[in-house]
Amino acid sequence: MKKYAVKIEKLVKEKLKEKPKKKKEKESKGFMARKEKVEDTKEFNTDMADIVAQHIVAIRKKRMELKG
Amino acid sequence: MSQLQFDPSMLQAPIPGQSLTKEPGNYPWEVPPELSTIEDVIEYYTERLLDANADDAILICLDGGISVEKMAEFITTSGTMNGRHSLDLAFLVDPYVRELIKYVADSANADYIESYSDLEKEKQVPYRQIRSLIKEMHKQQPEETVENIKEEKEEMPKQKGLMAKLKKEN
Repeated sequence: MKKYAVKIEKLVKEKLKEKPKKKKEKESKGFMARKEKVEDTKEFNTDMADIVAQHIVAIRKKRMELKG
Repeated sequence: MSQLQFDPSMLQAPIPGQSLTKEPGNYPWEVPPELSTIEDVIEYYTERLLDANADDAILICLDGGISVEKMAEFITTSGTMNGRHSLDLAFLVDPYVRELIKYVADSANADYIESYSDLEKEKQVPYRQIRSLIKEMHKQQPEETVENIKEEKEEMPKQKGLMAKLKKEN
């Protein structure tokens, strides 16, 4: 249990340090423009620790906002 | 010869296999859990703990001195007992529940104990500090030497009357 808590805390700290990635929007015009791919399948995150860490990050950010 | 006495309380214990005589599925832990994915369990606890009624109960418990660690453990374990999710998911979701409790406490500006073990560690004064403090105390107080004690004894008033102690002559 303690190892898991430590692992989660490490993941949360890593995620908090990460800066949000900006997506570059390339405008493609013309008849040679690539067509947007329609994704049929979604990628599911199977790492449960990662999912929990993501949710913890969201709550921690709210806590940080409360504290200012 | 002393005879072994029979303990009547032994008869009150369940007979081996007694639990199997009842129809299965009567208890929540005999039925498959309602929630089976981590996302569902997270959503469930988010709704439950951020509810206004639960909010009050959490704050009362925190003010009563229950640590966040223990409270999260109670909540997740009771979720398993009530058949909401499996014990595995209870362990997995435990850090998230802790974070939610801390969020509730912070939103109400309430103080809380994270865990009892951490609290004990904080209370523990390192030996180095105690040692230096004792040394300082010794420096401030005059040393009680044998001569000082003898002088104090001599200064004591002489006892008079019938019940006075007799002086021993060497």
